[in-house]
Amino acid sequence: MSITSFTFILFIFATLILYYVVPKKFQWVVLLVASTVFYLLSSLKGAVFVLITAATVYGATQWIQSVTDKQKQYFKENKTTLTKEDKSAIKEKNKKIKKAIFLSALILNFGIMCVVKYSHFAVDTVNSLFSAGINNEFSLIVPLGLSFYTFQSMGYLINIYWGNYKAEKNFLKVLLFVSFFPQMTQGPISEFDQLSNELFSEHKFTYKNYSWGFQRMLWGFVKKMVIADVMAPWVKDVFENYNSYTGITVLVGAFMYSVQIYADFSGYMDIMCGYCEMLGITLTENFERPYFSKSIAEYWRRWHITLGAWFKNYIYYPIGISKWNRNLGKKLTEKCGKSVGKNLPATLALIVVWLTTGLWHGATWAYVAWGGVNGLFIIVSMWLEPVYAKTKSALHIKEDKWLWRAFQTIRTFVLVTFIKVLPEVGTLSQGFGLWKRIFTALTQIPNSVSQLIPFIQIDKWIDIFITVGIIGLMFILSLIQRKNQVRIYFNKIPIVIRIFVLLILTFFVVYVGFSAEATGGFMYAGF
Amino acid sequence: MRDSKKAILVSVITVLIVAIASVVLIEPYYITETFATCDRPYRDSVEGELDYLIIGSSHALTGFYMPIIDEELSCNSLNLSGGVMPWRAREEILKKEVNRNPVKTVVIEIAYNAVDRDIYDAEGNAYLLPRLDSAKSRITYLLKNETLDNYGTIYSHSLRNGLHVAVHMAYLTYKNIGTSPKKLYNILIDGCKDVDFSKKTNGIRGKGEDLTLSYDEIKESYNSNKISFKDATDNFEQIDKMVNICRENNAEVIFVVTPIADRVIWKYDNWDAFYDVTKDLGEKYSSKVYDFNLLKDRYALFSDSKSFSDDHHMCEEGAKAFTEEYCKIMNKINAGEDVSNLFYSSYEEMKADSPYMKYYNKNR
Repeated sequence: MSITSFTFILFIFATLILYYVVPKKFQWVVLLVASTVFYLLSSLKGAVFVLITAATVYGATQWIQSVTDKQKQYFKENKTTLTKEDKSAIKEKNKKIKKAIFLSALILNFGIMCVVKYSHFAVDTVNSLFSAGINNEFSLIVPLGLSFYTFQSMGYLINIYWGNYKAEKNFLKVLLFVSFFPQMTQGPISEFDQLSNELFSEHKFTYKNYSWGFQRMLWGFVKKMVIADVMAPWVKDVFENYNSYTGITVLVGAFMYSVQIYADFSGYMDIMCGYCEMLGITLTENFERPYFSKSIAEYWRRWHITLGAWFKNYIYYPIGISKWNRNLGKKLTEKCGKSVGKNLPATLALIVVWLTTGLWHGATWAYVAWGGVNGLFIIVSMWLEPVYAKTKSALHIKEDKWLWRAFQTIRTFVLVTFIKVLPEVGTLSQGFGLWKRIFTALTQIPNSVSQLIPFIQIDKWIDIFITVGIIGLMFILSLIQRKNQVRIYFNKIPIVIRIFVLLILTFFVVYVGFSAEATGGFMYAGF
Repeated sequence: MRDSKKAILVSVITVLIVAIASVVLIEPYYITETFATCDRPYRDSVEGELDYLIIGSSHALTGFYMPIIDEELSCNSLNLSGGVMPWRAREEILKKEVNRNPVKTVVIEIAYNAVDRDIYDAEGNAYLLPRLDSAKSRITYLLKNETLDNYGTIYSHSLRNGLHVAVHMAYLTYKNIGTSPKKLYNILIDGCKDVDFSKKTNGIRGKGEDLTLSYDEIKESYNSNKISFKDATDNFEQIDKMVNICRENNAEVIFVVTPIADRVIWKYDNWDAFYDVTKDLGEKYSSKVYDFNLLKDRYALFSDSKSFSDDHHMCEEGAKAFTEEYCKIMNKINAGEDVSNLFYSSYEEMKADSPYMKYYNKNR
């Protein structure tokens, strides 16, 4: 079921009404049923994988929790008879048991993800390195949202293993956490303690939640369907034919891709966060005006925030604070100074994080390279921080001046765009080919608008006008959002005008987003 | 108020606001004759006068030049065809017109790419909506004959066309401020009448394109694809209903295949599978079947160089030539003549005579 379809819109309104009709203690059950229906309609075979993940995570966390609880209980009951050595021995034994359970569940679920997502990549790589000739024509069922729900449920498993909170006893609640439909296909990747509070609490209907949530959801549909879906074929044309276009045209296409992917991803988030708000549920934010970032590191703190948090909590910190890394840091500090002692262990952790981030995004070497390039910028910035500080001081650059901030923002946007397009064109060499085209053909100046943007049908000017207008509005709202939520200002406007504005946006979605043009055009529209 | 009541009330109000605003914007499209699909007012105006109907898809809409039909067959005809018209839509329109007119003949056009046409076709149904009588009939038709996912596309199409008409109406209203409401209504309806359906040429296209294949194309494309049909059970049920409607009203049914560009026939193998479908229909209903692709004179009358605007649709010149030939043959049939010798007996036989075959055989 596509989220930009009539079926989905009917589905979410039906779920909303049912959610508030049932007694409040059963609201989470409605969400579970809705998530099951959503998944079965979208991917019947893939549902088995979700069930396996939920069952193994539930089983493992219950087992780990019972070992912890039994140990606690045993220590309590035998407080006076157990010696310190006895307790250490029992703790050590239980630690091994818990580790075995934890690793089994982790390996099984990540294993499923790796096999399903990376088999073809692995076979391709082996074939090209060793001319092995392994058959790569096999097909595997790829469950919807595999990467997202696997990461989310593994986060829960890891937290239970670490003892951060108690395991949930109700299997159906764990199943809902794994399969909650607003977030399972594209995130946000949530923590169990935060999301469970939202999912399993009782929610009263409030007009404010409904209206604010509806506004946000509608804005998400506008971004997704009026900007992202309209620009997608333009961007595809540029990426597939970059060698036939001038450098400026390809550059315009690259920037369009940045706008398209932001509108697509953040639009989805707005739809789902807005819908959840209508249910009284708060999801974690995943975007915070990322294109206004002043550095690559800041960009990744504002773009796909929950993925970054997952990698930080479960890969970066564990590597960073691991015994061997801390020892390495100590030795390097003694031998090479504080800076190396601090930065090199961090660098090692960052390399792992960014290569795996690249691989998470796509099963190709282009994505691995993309992750590597992102990591490289962050690592180099970290090492050169003192040099930057000295340079800025020598040039009397004031960080709070708007000109400097504007320069940083534009510089970061351009860099991020160039890095983004690398894996999107196809192979790594094609990505580099696109970069090469931009620079080598930059002097070929298009001599008309249609030459500058040949991938756009100028005769569809109304649709283009609406799309460009909405992009402009998106930019303005992002500027306003810096100070305060746009909706605070919007909801102060008289209700009649608000309804009028929302109707206009709805009709933009219908006019552009649902149009036949969005899916290839009506053959006989000229009739 | 309980939460459930609040949620239902607010959701209903949301839907109502959008629905009312949509109706205000879309209704002008349904009630005026701005677009070529908006023939309902004209059909209402000629109720009780029509005796010759043609129903099909765009092949028929572009192929039949109706003024020639009226003149040569001495009838009052109307072409009810529409672009990508699903069979259920054809039955809907035909039922209405056969029941309210003294129809003597119904021509059901069959195209090879319409035999197994999807029963849920957003485009075809989008064109049908303004031809239905009322909001109730449109909603009923959509609920019975469309998937949920296609509603968005149909809604968008109607909104686009509705906005086009609404803007024009707003301009006319501005120019005629102060006029009485009744007079203003007539001004708006007449002012948005961009298609004159009384001329009966609303489907006819303009100039043709030269579609003649180059020698390399002749060599490479011969029988490069194959005609085959998916399950078309639902479509045959609709044809059954259409034939029964005609019989109940004592109207004769004729199945017709309008000409398509020779180069399409050249590219596909197994055309006789399609010919068998049409012959079976003729046998089943004891009706006449005329496939004008198989007309022996077709290469002279409907050439790829001047008779078509694209592979499947005739241009004005081609439509006139085809319609004249069609009427000649119908008059011969009505006079009791045997016309079977005017047609090839199979597509294989027809292809053997194709000008492309001469090049192909010469240079194999």
